Amino acid sequence: MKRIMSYKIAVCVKQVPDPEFFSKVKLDPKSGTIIRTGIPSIVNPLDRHALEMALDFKDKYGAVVTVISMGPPQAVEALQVALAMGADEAYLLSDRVFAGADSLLTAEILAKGIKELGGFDLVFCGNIAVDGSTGQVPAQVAEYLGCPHITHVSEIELKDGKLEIKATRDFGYTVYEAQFPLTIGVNKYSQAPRNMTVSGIMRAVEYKMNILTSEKVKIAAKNALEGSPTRVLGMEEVKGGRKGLILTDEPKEAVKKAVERLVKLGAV
Amino acid sequence: MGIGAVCVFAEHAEGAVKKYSLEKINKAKELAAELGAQTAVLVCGSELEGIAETLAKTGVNKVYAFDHPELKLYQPQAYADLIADWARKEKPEIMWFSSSNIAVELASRVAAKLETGLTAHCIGLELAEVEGKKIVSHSLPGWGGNFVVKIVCPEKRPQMATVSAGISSPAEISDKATAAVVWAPVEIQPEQLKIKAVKNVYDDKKSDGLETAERIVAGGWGMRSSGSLEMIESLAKLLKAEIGGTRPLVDCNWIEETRMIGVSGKTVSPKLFISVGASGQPHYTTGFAKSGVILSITDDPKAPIFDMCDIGIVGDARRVLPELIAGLETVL
Repeated sequence: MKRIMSYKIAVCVKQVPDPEFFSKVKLDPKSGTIIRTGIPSIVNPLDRHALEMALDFKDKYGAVVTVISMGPPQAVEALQVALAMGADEAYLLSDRVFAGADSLLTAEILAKGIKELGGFDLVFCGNIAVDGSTGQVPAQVAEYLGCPHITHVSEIELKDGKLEIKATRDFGYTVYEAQFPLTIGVNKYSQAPRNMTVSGIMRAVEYKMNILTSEKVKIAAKNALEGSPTRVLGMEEVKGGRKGLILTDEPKEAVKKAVERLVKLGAV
Repeated sequence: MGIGAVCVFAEHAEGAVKKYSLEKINKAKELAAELGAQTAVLVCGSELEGIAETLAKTGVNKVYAFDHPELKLYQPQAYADLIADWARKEKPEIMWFSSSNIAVELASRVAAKLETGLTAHCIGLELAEVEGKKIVSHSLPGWGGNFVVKIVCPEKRPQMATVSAGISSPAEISDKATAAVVWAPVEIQPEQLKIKAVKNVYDDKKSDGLETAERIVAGGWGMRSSGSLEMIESLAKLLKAEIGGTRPLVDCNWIEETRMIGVSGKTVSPKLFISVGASGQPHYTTGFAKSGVILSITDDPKAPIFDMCDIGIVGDARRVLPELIAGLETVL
């Protein structure tokens, strides 16, 4: 059956430090911010699930999938991975004034970028990122776009022009019915994210990346740190992780000390 | 004019208020006393008389109930509109939500509507003096547990947060209602809801809310030998803890997908997290790094998990667990 509808889908992806190297992350004592240089980066895992859901939707119903990322210049790599997986277009929102934005300002910037590109029928985001981990951006992007949202989504289906959605809950899931446009926060999709293809990689490498700066995506404040309602009051590096009491005694003795400590810490 | 109220959005299920909501109510009372502010609880749903009455007995000043048949199931659009409209009128100082799936999304949308700051997954809440004002300092672990971060919202109001379970002991429910219950007017045009909940589906193997659990016992690959999972179950039962696990255990069908902890599974922040038989690969540990106290038991002294736990026992879990169960029985 020939598809006469082609949906416009946007997927927000974020490049994050590879969790394998979290223990190597250092704190800049002067600025109080994290030093990311030298730490390998990956596409945020749940963003891959979001992209897979979008690409699956494209395969089933017909769509043009655009990936968008807000980040420093090197975030282009994340967009290239997405292109290699099958995304059609890619845009990087990058500007010094965006650096250090909290979730609300990030959402505003992403939404403005999305609007600048003419809007979409569906916006997919990974539910939560492994760095920062607020899980707040999808619903906040939706607010700035003026469209409804639903997060923790594990399945979507098109039925009579409407979306039928499963959103994970602690008892199981809730089924929702929604109209377009919609912003969706994707939890673990039932289908594993597809691999990059050879032809995809070649296309990604040759793709002329689109960059949007603060010229096209304006924010009211001078910079992101000023424009974010929340800020870091203080940050303390916990040397070597937590100050763990590591016990190598025989089980009985080790347990005795462990239980004492648990009680002392108020954990039991 | 005094500052606004310290408010908690309370959750409930099957006629009972969630324990983690009662904990936040208790914490709200504590901070409100320090600030000289009032306390309020917000609740949404249908047929809320019983719930509202319970909340009115927790020692807060006011209960605002949004009661309507259309609100029986969580409705992303309707709930957010109601709560945000309420906040614009009542101008609270502080608003806290839990870190359940629903609460995080609701708090996020409301914070965006109010253009205010929202701090996620707090494990500590206290007052700090910033520029001459007493404001909330929200504590959260950052970066796989290697950092502790304190976040504030100095100017925008309300100061909002999603808060992990176990922030305080639960508020006691007294015999008599001391709060005024306000039945907020709710007008919903069903056809205006662009997203609507249709039904809840209850899974037999439900995860029982790992994300809001106060205690979790999780097993790793080292637990796959026969008899070991039963020990985890005994420990969990004793501690009244939820059970979680790593991807390898899910992949060989020893625990359900919904109980997987890690970057592509659940992110949890209980008061107590016990990891058994897992070496602590970051994809797993990132999932529970925000926990209050972490105890790890595994036999490899070089396991990375020993860099991010509060207490580590190097040993064979099959020998340690029976001792741990016996030891905890004496203190619980």
